[in-house]
Amino acid sequence: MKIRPPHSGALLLILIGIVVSLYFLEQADATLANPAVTSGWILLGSFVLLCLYGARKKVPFLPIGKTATWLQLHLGFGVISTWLFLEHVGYRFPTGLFETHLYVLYSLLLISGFLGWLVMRALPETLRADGREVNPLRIPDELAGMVKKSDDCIAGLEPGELNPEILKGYFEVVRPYLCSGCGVLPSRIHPEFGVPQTLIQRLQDYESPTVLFSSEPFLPVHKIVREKAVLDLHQVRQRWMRGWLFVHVPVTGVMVLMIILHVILVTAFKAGGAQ
Amino acid sequence: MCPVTGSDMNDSEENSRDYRFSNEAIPREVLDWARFNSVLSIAWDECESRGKSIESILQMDARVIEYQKADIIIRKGDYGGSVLIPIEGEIRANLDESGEKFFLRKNVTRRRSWLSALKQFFRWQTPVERISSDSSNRNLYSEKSRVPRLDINIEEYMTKYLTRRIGLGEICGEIAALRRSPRTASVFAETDCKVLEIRWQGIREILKNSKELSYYLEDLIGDRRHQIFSGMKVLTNLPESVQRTLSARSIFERWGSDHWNRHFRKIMQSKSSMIDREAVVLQQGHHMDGLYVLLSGFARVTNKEGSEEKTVGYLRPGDVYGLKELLKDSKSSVSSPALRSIRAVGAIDLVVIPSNDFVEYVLPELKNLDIDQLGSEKGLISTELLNFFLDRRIVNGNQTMVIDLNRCTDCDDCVKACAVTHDGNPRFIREGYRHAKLMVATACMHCIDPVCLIGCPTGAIHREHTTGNVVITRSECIGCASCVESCPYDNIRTVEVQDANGEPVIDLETGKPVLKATKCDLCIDQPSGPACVNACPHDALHRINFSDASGVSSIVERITG
Repeated sequence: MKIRPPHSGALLLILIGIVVSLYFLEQADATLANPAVTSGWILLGSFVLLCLYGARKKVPFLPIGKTATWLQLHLGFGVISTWLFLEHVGYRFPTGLFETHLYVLYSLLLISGFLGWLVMRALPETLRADGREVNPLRIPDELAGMVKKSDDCIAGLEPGELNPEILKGYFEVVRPYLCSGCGVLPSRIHPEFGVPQTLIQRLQDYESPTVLFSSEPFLPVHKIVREKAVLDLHQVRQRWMRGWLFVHVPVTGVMVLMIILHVILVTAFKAGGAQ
Repeated sequence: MCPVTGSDMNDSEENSRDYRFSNEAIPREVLDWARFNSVLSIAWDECESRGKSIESILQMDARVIEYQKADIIIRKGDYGGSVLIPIEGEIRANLDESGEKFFLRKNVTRRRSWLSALKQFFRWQTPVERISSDSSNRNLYSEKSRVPRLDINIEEYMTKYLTRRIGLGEICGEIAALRRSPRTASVFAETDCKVLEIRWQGIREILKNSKELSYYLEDLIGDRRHQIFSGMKVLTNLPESVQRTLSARSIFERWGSDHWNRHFRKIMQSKSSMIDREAVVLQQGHHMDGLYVLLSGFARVTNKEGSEEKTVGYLRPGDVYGLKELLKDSKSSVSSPALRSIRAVGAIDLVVIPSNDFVEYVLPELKNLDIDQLGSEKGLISTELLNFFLDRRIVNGNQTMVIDLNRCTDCDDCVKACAVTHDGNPRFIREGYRHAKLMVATACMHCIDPVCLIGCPTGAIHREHTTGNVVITRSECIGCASCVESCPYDNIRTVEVQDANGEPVIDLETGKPVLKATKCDLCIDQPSGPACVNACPHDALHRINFSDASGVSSIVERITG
């Protein structure tokens, strides 16, 4: 699996962002101000910028730069905010309930974002390696078609053409496999037969896979099973490419609410302290 | 081959049109008048003697249109598929470039304000195209298309700007109709008038049966064609007198099939070799008789390697072939043969400037130009990719949507962006031809040879004047689907029109739902330009102009590595 390297512009932005933030933190230190307050405000600013990426995607008709550029800004500020977050919490694991929640949520956001970055850079190439374009919306129909086609193949056989063990293996292992979902992790494919290893293991209770897959009447079914394995691989990759967003986006929403609450609390305590 | 009518007119293709140009028959008095007083009189008897009745052709392919004073009949730069013969009243052609500003299409290029653009975001999405409620009860199919008008005093205009009256019975609009090129002049109604409009299919059928009219039109076109030299990279700086001389001495040729788009899908399915189907314009190794300048269409440049023809480049309008050979010739006394072959991909018009005239008139002008840039071997694209682009006629595109599959994550943000900017109805499909990691999506390419324009009975689909984009004026579209059938790339669709209540608008005459053609308009009214390009977070979606060789090769190189 080859991962596209990060954009040089994003790397430059990270460097500049860190230098500028360091300057402000040093200034705060020099004036004996609370560095956590300074890093907190800068962190809030970078978080707002991170959230703006989602808003920009909703208005593609406005001439405010390409979304691709915004994504690089999003990634750059994501890295800067990670460093700022660690500065903000003083490189320690928090002890309070509220800050622990914030810490965990931020970690989830960071991990899901990093995973998303990895997935988006690594998977598209592998997804197209077999030259096949699969529309996720059509996959259920394709799977249903495969089951029907394979049933037709078996129904079209002359009595006695397949031995009973193979037939039993078809109905108890192969057919359920064709009807099953793809799961979350990609199956390991047997290099010789082009079908999942798990399927081979289960089939061994009925008939030797070598005998089964070399059986002439079973060849059309074998072809369908191979197609299903390829389709499953596509579907798993597509699930990964979308799945990380199911964590990243809701956690962002919760984080926004928690940060607002955090700012209100800090400001309130500061005002109370001043009195 | 007849230079005016084209090389391979096919009877079955000509007779395949199944609807008349107009529901109303041409009146007898108009036919009688045209027979004796119009340019058609040249061809009338000749056609009759060949068993072809011009009357029947006119009944099928002509209509009479009435214009009011100051109506714009033809707009310079527009693509039209018909010729016009004034039969009553006065019409004039505008010959003054400075006056063209009065003929510009209104309200097409106007971009939305930011506020107006943002409003789109809050619109309810509908499953199909929607029209405003004020037109919901109108019968759009039978509605007469709106005729644009000049917003100035005609008499004042004629005194201020250079115009020429087109006499009764004379012909105009023939270059655009027969050559599939833009209209060369704007024409307007000086007084209330009637015009006989003959669509290109009809005029071609007449020309096929009348050599006299063919020669007449050839002379007519020849008299005006020096104008086409202006605007070409090599010849634009030549004085007009030299352009006229070159025009008179050059050989104008038309190659390939005019109807390449009709059978394109079938040919694609047959998977037979495209190169073998293309007409050879210049054979490698043959005598190089001059400089080949492509006027319209596109051509393939091949090099014979062993027994195989290898594609090494392509030509688009304005491109030239033969510079290397002719420059070599000018330095030595020995004539060098053509180093490459040229083949017509579809229908092409080209001009061959004879070698002697090239040396005398054109060569001195080339001193300041980068000769490599004028060449035909475009960038660093591989033969496989050139074949992919040429076999599928993708080089026709000025704004071809190309997707880098190495970067595309199937997020569909491009489709969603297109939907947001078009009332919830995306104008393209993120699927299409593939070559390795490159995909050409099913989106309008805004072609250099927009065959979809030919045959549109109302001119609703047209080339936008300032940008050259192909757009559909919704109010003028009658949903006849001629553009849908003509587009060889399946990039245009028809959709049912709904009124404001979500009910389909029914044509009162046919009882069928009113349809409108729809396709990518490059977000012509959006402040951002194409929303799809803006929306792609991974920079996977590009719009390619195949005239820009360096742009093509840089994007292709980035995609294919």
